[in-house]
Amino acid sequence: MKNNLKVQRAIKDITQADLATAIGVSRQTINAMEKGKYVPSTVLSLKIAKYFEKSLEEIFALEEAD
Amino acid sequence: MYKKLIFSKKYFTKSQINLTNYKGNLTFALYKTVNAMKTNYLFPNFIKLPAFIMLGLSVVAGLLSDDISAAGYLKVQVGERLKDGLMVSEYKDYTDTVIGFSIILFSILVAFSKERIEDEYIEKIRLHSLVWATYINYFSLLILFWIFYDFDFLSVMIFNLFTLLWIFIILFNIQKFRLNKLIQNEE
Repeated sequence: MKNNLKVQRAIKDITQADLATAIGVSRQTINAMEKGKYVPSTVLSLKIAKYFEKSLEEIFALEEAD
Repeated sequence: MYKKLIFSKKYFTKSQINLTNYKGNLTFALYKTVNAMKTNYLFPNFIKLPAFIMLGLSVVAGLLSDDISAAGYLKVQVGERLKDGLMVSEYKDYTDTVIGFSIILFSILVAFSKERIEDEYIEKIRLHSLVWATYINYFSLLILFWIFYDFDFLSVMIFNLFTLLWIFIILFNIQKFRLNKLIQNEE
């Protein structure tokens, strides 16, 4: 699964740390997601989408390998 | 039973209890079930540091166990018996018992207490480290089986009582350290 968290963050002009605090995870988690090293759970994805006021598909997308 | 689950107060906070719509309640109850999957099998974070200090002390005591044993601090009278017409006291030396007990207890507390920010990613890293620690521990044991025999193997087994937890603690902390370094480099 790929995501455009970095873009979304840039649009909102917030740091990884800001996003981490807002959704209640560590900075390492945000970093790992942006690098594609970690696929968030449904709960976390929904929290992120809610925070950015976007739908899930606008932030997360399936890859061919999935 | 299901009704009980939906309407039991446990599943609602104040604001959510106002949801009278049945469907709303149902959805919420399901959401709550998902949230309830959060780890509840870990010890609180504040235990980690004191447990680590106690573990250090226990390991030092373990290294000095012969001296402690000889000094007889933990020698306890457990009974008396008749020997050659005289009453003699029977003692038990609890040195190894107490040290072994505390090393394992504090290792568990260090290994399985929550992180400062406990989230799903750290949970994944914890699982990952635990699997690898188990592999390393038991694969090394498989090799050690063929290297040490008889009484020597007893020492291997004594060590093996603790190594699984220790390898896990080491692997887990290496992972955390690497992640911290990664985000520091990006600043």
